[in-house]
Amino acid sequence: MTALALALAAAIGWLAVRILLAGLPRRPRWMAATLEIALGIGAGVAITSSLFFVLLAAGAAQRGVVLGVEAALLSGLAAIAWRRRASHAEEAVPPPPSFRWNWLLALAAGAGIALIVATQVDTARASPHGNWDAFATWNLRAKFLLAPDGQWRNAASELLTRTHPEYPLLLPGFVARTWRLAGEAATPAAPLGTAWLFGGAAIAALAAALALVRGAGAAWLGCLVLFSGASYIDQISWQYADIPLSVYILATTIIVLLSWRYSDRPRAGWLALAGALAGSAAWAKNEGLAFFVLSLACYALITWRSEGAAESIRRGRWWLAGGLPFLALLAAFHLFLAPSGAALRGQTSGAVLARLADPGRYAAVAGAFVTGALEWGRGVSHPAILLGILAVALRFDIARRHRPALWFGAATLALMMVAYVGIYLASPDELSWLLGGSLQRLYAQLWPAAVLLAFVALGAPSDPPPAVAHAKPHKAAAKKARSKR
Amino acid sequence: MTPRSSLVVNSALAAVALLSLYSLLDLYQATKFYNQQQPDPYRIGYQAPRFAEAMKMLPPDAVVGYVSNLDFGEIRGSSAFFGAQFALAPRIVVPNDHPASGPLVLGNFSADVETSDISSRLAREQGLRVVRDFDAGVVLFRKEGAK
Repeated sequence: MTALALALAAAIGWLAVRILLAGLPRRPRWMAATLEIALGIGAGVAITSSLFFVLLAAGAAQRGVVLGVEAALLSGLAAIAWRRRASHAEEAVPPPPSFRWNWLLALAAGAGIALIVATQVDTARASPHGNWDAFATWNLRAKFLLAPDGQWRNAASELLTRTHPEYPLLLPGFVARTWRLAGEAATPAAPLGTAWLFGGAAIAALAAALALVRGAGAAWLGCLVLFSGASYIDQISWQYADIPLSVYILATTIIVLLSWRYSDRPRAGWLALAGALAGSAAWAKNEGLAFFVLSLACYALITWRSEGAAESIRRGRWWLAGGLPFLALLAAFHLFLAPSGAALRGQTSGAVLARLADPGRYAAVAGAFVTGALEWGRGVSHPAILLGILAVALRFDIARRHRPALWFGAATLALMMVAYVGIYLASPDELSWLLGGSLQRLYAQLWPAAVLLAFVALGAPSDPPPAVAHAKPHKAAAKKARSKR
Repeated sequence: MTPRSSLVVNSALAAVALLSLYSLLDLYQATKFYNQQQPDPYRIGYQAPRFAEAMKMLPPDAVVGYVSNLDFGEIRGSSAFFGAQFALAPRIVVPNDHPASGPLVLGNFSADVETSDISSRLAREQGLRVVRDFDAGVVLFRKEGAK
């Protein structure tokens, strides 16, 4: 039943993405379908989690009602997708570069996925309830959301010491909804299945997006570099909200990349989807709200520079429209449910300024960021070494139509890092404890999007052009040809 | 710019693939070793059966006090607290000295102490009466004077 409940959410998301991404060139077809499904997992979790929260607030989150609403939504989306199926017209896109060793890279990526599955299964057997924050925060709050009558509100009770009752509810809401549909409260299958869905979505979305824009060789290499971020792979079974957040950040970046690649004037649906995915990030974690604001600002600014103010406003509106439902939920959550001021924890501006003026904190944060980056991979297989090798071998080859998306992604991720540094500097928590417990998770949030951008900038592996095409004509033969003319 | 020779490119790509797989194999072996050494390191899987009987005596909307021989400031103490909270949810568990703590108090004791001894001491020091000892270090108390 858990698998069916997860599949229902993924199907809803897939159809929603398919409708909004109308016009996506479908070559290679299986990669376009993979991209829709991967993005659909993130979208489906966000949609069904939000619906469950609304039904809870309305006092109507019984199993039958939840199932009925989701089934109706699935039917409606299927009908719309069926009516619009003709709009998936093929557009003229340059074929991806061919590379004779793609099959070998695919084999290596497949072997990597097999090792990841083996690692996750071993961890799930040993620790099915996930890591610390899973039972102390995320899944605990999911259990509260299943409480009878109006007691689900205790998921945000200020009495829940150190469980962050102010954290948004995308992940707990989805786990609670899946438990309710499956009729299996508090079993590890739902949160574990959710964690694996997001881990799979990150890999599939990265591979599919790179296959569409840079060819299959870049897709498999992108996966291999993603896998070398050992800490990211390690975190999949933790059942935290950081991997889901990384999927929303990656998905938003992918939509922006595709929209600039395939159209000078992106469709409203694509922009709304980017906004919805960024809005889902805000409903997933507090850092996601920073991502929504920064990504919208970067997108609007880059569009304004290249297309002018009017176009920037048009696109920004659609982006906002897509994110609005999730932002509204977040606002309602903070206004009516979460303990007031929990995020600020009674800090005075004087105390914050004193911390910001402490040079020792800057040194500690900088040192931790460097150490954290070094610990992101394992020794000689660190992603920085792999990317260095690829940069030397493939060099950089930034297509003109990819430049705005590259600027967008690089600026957004850089500003996210600045925001993280700011939070560390201002936080009242003991700094070394805070850095030790969270920095690897923050890197995880940005990692798949960073790999995507790296491979958009790198040259794609391709076969050398046929030798005949480049061979200089023999002098004697050329002279003979001239004399014949 | 002169294109790289196929040999250089193919060797580089092979190196990247092998290093990535080496990384995953290394992670798999380290994870397997860790999981063998410390399966369920915070003992969360053990908590639901431990508290199952106590849960039957606690209403789902209860705010339950909490006492333990383990210091919350240490990892064992805090994991025991959150393990109890996770098992007992949707009941809210708060330290016994918290103003919101209700009349019922849950005792969560480690296996290395004699439960009856520590229960008696806590009952004496904190004004608690033992309602029931569930074994496995789980004791339900009621505050003296509370109905």
